[in-house]
Amino acid sequence: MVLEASIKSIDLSIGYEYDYGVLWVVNSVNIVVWRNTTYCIIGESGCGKSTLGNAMAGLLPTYAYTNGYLEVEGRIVVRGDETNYNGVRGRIVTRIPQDPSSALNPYVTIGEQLVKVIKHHYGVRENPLEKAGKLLKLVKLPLEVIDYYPHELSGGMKQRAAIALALAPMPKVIVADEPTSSLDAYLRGVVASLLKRVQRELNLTLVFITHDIALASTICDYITVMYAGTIVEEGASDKVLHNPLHPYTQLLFKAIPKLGSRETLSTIPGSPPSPTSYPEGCRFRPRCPVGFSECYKAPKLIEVEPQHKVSCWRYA
Amino acid sequence: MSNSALLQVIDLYVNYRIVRKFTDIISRVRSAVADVSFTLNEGETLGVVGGSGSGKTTLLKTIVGILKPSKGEVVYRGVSVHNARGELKKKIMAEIGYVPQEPSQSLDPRMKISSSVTEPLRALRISKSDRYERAKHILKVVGLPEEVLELYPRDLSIGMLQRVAIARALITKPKLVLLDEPTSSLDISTQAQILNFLREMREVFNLSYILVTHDISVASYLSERLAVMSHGTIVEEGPANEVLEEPLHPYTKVLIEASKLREIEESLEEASAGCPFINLCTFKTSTCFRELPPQIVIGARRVKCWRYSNK
Repeated sequence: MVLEASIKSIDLSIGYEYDYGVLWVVNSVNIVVWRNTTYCIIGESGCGKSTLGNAMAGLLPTYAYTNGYLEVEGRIVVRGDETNYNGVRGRIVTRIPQDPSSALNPYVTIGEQLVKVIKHHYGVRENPLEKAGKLLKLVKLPLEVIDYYPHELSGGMKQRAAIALALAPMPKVIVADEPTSSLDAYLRGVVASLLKRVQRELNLTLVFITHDIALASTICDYITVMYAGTIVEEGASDKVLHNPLHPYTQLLFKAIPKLGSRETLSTIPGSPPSPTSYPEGCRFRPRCPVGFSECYKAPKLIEVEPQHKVSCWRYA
Repeated sequence: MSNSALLQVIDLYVNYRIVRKFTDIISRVRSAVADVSFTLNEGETLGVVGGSGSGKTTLLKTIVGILKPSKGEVVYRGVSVHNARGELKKKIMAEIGYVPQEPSQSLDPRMKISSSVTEPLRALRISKSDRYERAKHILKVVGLPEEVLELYPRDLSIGMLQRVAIARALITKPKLVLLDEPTSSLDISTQAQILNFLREMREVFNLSYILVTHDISVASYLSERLAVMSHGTIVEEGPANEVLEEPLHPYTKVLIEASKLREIEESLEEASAGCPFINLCTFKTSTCFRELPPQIVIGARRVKCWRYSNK
């Protein structure tokens, strides 16, 4: 299989206005997402992973500042401070929201919402209602749901309906922004398996944003770890998971409680920096247990082994 | 009754009334907690695991006295929590700490941290200077600087807020602390900090915990005993290592599978009568379709499943 780039970014930075200046919450990100793969973005809250996802999905607020270059399915959407998502949103890329109950319109039945999206993109030529039924079948919801209002569905069913809604315009790329964070552990597994199955069946590119590493490990082909607006590690999922190289990734993996293990968890000292006060040089430096003098300069993302990149001076 | 029993929950039912104004003339009653009994010994931690809507939070709220049971009793050191009055009630309430879900929502945004933390003491009629001294002390214990007292919840990170919420529960010097999803809104690194911190607090104050969570690996990290809850009832209970190594109930098996993240596809739909887990189970018999399973005691464990009724 020849790998083709679906999403490509070069030195992409995204920022918001702050105290007469621009606060860059995503800094010089270079990523390539291959077509028909699942790409995970892992990071803690406030690391810029949702902003990056919104940039891919064309849902950045109008007051956001951009810099660099971003391409989605061959269409240039960000170049310098200009953005152009015309014809990209919907037909090419859609987003699955974090909280389905706030994304679904409470006054409109699920069926009507689906039909509205299908009509908007494809008109009435292909029976939209039939298509809506097919979408519900794809996400394993019973057909009756077409006449249900969102409040009549449980949390897991709502998330399934939100996935069906995201699939309605038949996109090529889906950005799932923490789709499982409002669900319990059991439903989390179910929804993640569903997304993976849909991705395989429809040959989609799935960008999966999460802070749940265990979940990412089961469904992803590629993993990117973000910290304080930068990418610290990137690569094929088995390489990153079995051989984490960046000290942050290593510590993060050790902090997950294992089933049945009662050993004391290792923690990362301190807390993540806020975008207003990023430290100089490597942004993990103040919390890093193995830092040295070189770390006062910003490291670059370098390839340590095939399909495994890390941004740390220890491997330079 | 053994002497070391700290808390006993006896045959507890909590019902909510579903009011349908127009369709039903008689309002229906649904049990959020049904037929729950367990005993918690001093210094022990019980992990209550279950999916959303299984009645975990309702159970905690009933134990702490926010909700009233429809049937059954909660007994703390031989005294019924809901029937106690006056000084005795105050004493019991001081000895049971409660950390609600979502620290950012349970702390009043208009109150300074100092007033939030000392609020339980105000209810106990403790003088103002004493309250402030104890707040200062407890913040030191939970590892927060003293300046935090003068701040508002918006000034703190979510991990710090969780520590404040725990400090508020610990300020009355409780013996039992009820934790409602203490880590579900936290990041992994903060979660590890809070879990280690809870363990440390348990040793420092010789506490008992009831830890409610949907994540079985978080529960197994802190608890000696596990209770798996679903559809308002405890379907399996026993020592944590035994439950994890050899789960008896099909729902426990599914939860353990989910935490190991095998790909799961089957759906957990509610059956009309009989055991609610028919869809998950491979050993179902005709009895399972007709009747709810009884509680069966096997050694130190209890399970609600027809499969073990002959043993």
